[in-house]
Amino acid sequence: MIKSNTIMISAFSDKHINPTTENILVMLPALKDIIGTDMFPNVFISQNIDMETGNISSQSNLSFASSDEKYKIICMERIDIICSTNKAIECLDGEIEKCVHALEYLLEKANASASRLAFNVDYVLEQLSVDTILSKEFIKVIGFYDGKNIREWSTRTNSYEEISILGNKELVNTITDIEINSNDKGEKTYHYHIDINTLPGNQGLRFNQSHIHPFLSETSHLYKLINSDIAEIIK
Amino acid sequence: MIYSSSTDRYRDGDNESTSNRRKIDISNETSISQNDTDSILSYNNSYTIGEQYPQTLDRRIQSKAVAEKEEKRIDQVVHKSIEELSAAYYKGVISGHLSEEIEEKIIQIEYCHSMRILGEVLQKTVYKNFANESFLVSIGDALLRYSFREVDPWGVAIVSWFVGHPSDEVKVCAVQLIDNWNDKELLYFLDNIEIKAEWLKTYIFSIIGNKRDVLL
Repeated sequence: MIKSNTIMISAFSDKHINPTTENILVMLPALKDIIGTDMFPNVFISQNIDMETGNISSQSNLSFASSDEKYKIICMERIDIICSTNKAIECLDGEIEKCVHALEYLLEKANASASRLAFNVDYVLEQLSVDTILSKEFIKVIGFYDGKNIREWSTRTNSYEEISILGNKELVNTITDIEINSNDKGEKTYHYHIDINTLPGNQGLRFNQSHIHPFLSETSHLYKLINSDIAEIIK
Repeated sequence: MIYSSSTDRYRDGDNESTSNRRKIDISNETSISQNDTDSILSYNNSYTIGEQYPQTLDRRIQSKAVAEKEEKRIDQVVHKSIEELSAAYYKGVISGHLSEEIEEKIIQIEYCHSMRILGEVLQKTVYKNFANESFLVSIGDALLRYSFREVDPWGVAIVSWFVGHPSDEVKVCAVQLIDNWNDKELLYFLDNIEIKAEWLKTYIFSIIGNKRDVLL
């Protein structure tokens, strides 16, 4: 049973969207049209420390939340578009499309470029027979745990994959975290997190709003492959 | 949202993915990425870490940890203050002095903590209680005591919510706040406000109309 499913599309932007009256006035109706529900702006303050100079500075940031608490948009140095739902990952194409349009709109409005793009999927399942999962051959535990009731288990795997964004080749980290945890009652939850992001080493401001859709097309192909392999594990 | 530890790390701009470790060369006091061979563009990310001694880096890392701890403390204070404001609402409903209770609690939050914390408390409270007209009106009335400079920038967010509220009573609060705060950009919120009451339309056109002539 799906407990929660969250997707997040991010862009490391070179521009900061200030929480001014003008920005709120302009963005609020546009985001309402894109997301399809009322959006509420929120202004919050974050503190940043410059590791080079040691200066601590406060910065006001703008975020939006939908009235049904399904969508969140956070505009800091990194722009995050987050969608939380309990639908299966195969049924999220509509939500992903809205997140893509929202990010495209913000980058275009801010006239911003991005140095990194990222796509995250976070999936929590419960009421699964995780013992079946733990008995699979690919899970290697030391002999001490054979036959024991495993309460926690996790694995993290990363590989580079090459994708093409508007004709340019780009390497991405393809990270998958899988965890099984137990609560005090012994109920187990199964959590996996897929994180596909362009390499941090390349800081060139090479992405703009026209790159978001191609990036998502390429990475959605990767996450669907990973997801189908994971589905084999948990069935 | 549950973030993986890898997501936390790249949120801080320091992805510790296995192939992208930053190498800190103390002798040359520079930090260079080991992974610049995959770049499409030429990549130069070397910078000097402050002064000559690595203790400076330690102090800055500690400062960062202190700042993060402070943020967590602020989150706890905000959470507690939201509960106190909700309790003041229920106390006000029972006693029949709702506006007074809310205003007193808002002043107390400002006095004991800061306008920053007050802003976060009020935004979250309005978001959670958007359907509660009397609560919002009490908050709007309490905000009239502050100047726009004091509530900037979060005051704009609250006005935008009040302007879009279905209740005319809450919209009255929005108009009063815009009238009181006297900022020309806030007048644009009134361009598309939907109002049923004729007297409110008259209020907007007569008083705010004068402000357009003065401010714009």
